[in-house]
Amino acid sequence: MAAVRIAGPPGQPDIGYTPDLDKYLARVKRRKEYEKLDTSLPPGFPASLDSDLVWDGAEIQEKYNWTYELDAEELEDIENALRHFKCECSFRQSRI
Amino acid sequence: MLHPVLRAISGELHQGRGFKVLRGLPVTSHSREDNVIIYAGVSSHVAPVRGRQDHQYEGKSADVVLNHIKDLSTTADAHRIGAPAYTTDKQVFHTDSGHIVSLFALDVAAEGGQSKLASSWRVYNELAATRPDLVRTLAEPWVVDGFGNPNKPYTKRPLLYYLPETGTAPERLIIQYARRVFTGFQALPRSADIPPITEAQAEALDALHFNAERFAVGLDFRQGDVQYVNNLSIFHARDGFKDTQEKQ
Repeated sequence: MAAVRIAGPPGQPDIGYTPDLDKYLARVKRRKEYEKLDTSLPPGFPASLDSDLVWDGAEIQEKYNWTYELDAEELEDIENALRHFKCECSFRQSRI
Repeated sequence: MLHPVLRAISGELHQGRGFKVLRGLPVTSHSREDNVIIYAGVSSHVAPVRGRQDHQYEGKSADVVLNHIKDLSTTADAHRIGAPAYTTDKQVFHTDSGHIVSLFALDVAAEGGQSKLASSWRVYNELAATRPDLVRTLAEPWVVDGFGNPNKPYTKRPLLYYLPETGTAPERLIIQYARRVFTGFQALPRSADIPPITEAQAEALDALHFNAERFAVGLDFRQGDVQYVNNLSIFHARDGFKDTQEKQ
């Protein structure tokens, strides 16, 4: 006999790792209907943050170029640094 | 000179939009070891202090600062995989540990696997305006699953922190969370002997995810790209993907 067992501790809400939009919307509705939800922020918390760190996916593509392409000279810098680092490593090892 | 370029990227991560992609590292012309050296070296100019990702390697104590994100579901025991990063599954919005997180694409998936970022500060503004009760819920202590750690079956901490501006530091809003430690994942369900999360917390988890999805941007990832993300202001997610033997 297989019994249906919900994973987790007793009283764990019906929620999984993968978000389920229907369950979310049902929970929002249920809580708004049956619970008295606080209408104020915790003391000292801002009503709104004002910073470049606040952005919206729909508009950021036009406002911000987030890709930096390395050029030939910079790639040469990297090759030199790699050679230098590996040389330093063997030098240090040989001293021990 | 590459150093000023990389310092400017650091500035963008801390004071700008919080993310940047460095494109064009030559992956295929180098050994795996050289690629790791290049990645660590370049990144040390962006964020000089490396955080510890794990405390052991091959059973021995070690300060692991690099993780290889790879689908292990076909090669490892599925019961030992406790995080979706090591599968081809979709990874829902979350943060990692640490301040700046980076990802170096040694190769891209045969299909899918798009990376998504969303400003957690934007999500905060949305919740503050529409559901201040959920901001309260997020700022209260939550029971974080220790997944069988005998010394600490669970810990308690808030998911959201607000630090007002001081004379020396700007205002900061930090949301640190991953669903896994509240909902469990596949082989690691939430431990049965710790307190459950509450209905309010369950709603808050979904509110973070669905608002992040709403305000997200998708980044295309190419071989040789390094993605740098300010983990304290940005949620990240990854679509599910398909891979082939040759791409791994």
